[in-house]
Amino acid sequence: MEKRRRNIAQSRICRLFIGICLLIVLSIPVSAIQYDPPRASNYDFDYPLGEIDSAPRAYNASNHQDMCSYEGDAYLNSSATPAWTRMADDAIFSFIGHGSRDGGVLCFWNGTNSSILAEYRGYVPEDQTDYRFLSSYSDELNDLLLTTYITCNSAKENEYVGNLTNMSYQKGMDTTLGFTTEIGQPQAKDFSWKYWYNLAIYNWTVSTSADSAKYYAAVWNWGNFSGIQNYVIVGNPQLTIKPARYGS
Amino acid sequence: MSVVSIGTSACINDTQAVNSVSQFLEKDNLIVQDISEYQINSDSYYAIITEDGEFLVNSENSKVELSIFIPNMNNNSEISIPMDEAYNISKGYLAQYYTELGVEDLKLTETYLEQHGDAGSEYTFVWREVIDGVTTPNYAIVGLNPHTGNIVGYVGIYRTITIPIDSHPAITRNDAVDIAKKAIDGVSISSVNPELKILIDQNGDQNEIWEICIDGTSEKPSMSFVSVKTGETFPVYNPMRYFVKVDVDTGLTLDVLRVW
Repeated sequence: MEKRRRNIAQSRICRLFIGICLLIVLSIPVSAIQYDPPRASNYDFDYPLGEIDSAPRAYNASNHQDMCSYEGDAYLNSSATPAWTRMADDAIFSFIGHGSRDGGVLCFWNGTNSSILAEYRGYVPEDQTDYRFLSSYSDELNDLLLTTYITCNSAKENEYVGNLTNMSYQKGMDTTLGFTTEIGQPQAKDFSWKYWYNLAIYNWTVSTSADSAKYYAAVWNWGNFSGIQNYVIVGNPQLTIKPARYGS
Repeated sequence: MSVVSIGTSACINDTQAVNSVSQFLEKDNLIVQDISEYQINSDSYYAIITEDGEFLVNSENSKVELSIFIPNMNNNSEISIPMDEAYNISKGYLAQYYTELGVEDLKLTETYLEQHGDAGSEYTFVWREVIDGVTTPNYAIVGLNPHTGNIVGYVGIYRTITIPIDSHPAITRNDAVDIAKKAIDGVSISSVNPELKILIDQNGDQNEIWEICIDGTSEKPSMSFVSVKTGETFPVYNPMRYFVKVDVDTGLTLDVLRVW
């Protein structure tokens, strides 16, 4: 009887161990691949009626990246998991769309809502089954050269899910740009266009490209910055995207 | 030298545009790295890149309306210059370069000390012309390096006002607010700011309108976080901002723009 109890206990421990191993394997993506030419993934959205759209800025960004010999891809209305999975193999990742009042969230939409969040702190989005955390990666994001989050509060600390720009840097991305406040939609789209133009055509640094784009966004909108002046660059502000390459 | 044309109908040629930059910088023999053309709202521009930075020359009036002095962005991590000193420097710059209006004719509407993380900081000042309570399209922006005091960016837009300015239009401030509130839904309103404005549309035509800025939060939570330990939920009501444009004579809603 004692031997049988011991066998049952051992079997339970064994199953628990296998379960934990499976969870670990499933939650850690396979190691990153470096494509030639380096890959750039860009996301924008036509949110439902009454919401703010951000298309076709992913397409514009990908065109500019193509000019720099990246393989630029534009994804309109993507869900979160494919973007999160793809991220590990990207040299450039850009997102323009909705964020959150408190930061820490990229809101994806492809008919249903899904999210990429900064850091798992014991809180998850309610009513969403498709959500991913940057913090789930170990060192697979090291290859990202530049990440750009043109979304409200992407550089703001959220007590439940962290800070996207800081977590991106912690996870090895060379340079990340985000915003500490709400940003106006027309300004965001104008900023995005000029920012990628500056990076690709003039080969300017991320810092110069962003500051120039900030002024252009204001001129396009009769002197209204509408939050677009509140960009933050974490990492190397002197980074340029030419020649096409992965991050270090 | 590359030329990116975005459908402009230039009145001056690129050589004249370069001359404008040369005069603006008081510098002969500019080394031009790139010239492209832009259409911004109803205006066409030459964008000229030199070692000094980026300059937008309005092809109608040949004025340099945007300057970004790229070398002046360097060494901007430390904030050595206090805000009031930065303000005085930028005011002096404005007096020198925004000559269509005197500084006394302008109202300082926005002041920022921008913190760009590892990319340093920048002071920004925005002035606007307001005549009898009506905001015109004329404005200037000066950006300043908070360590060196050098000018980083300058915008100076001046357009002659061609329509009569009406400070007391048929549609009153209260009427405009009521109309704007009816034009939006799903917002728990926290503030409403109406402003009489002269706008220039894409065709270059001027119109006086009420522009009502409505701030608030979404009535329904945009998302909620749930604690995996306790099951407690934390709803997030995202901020919402709308701009509603209302005709000053008829009260017609001309445009409803959700900004965030």
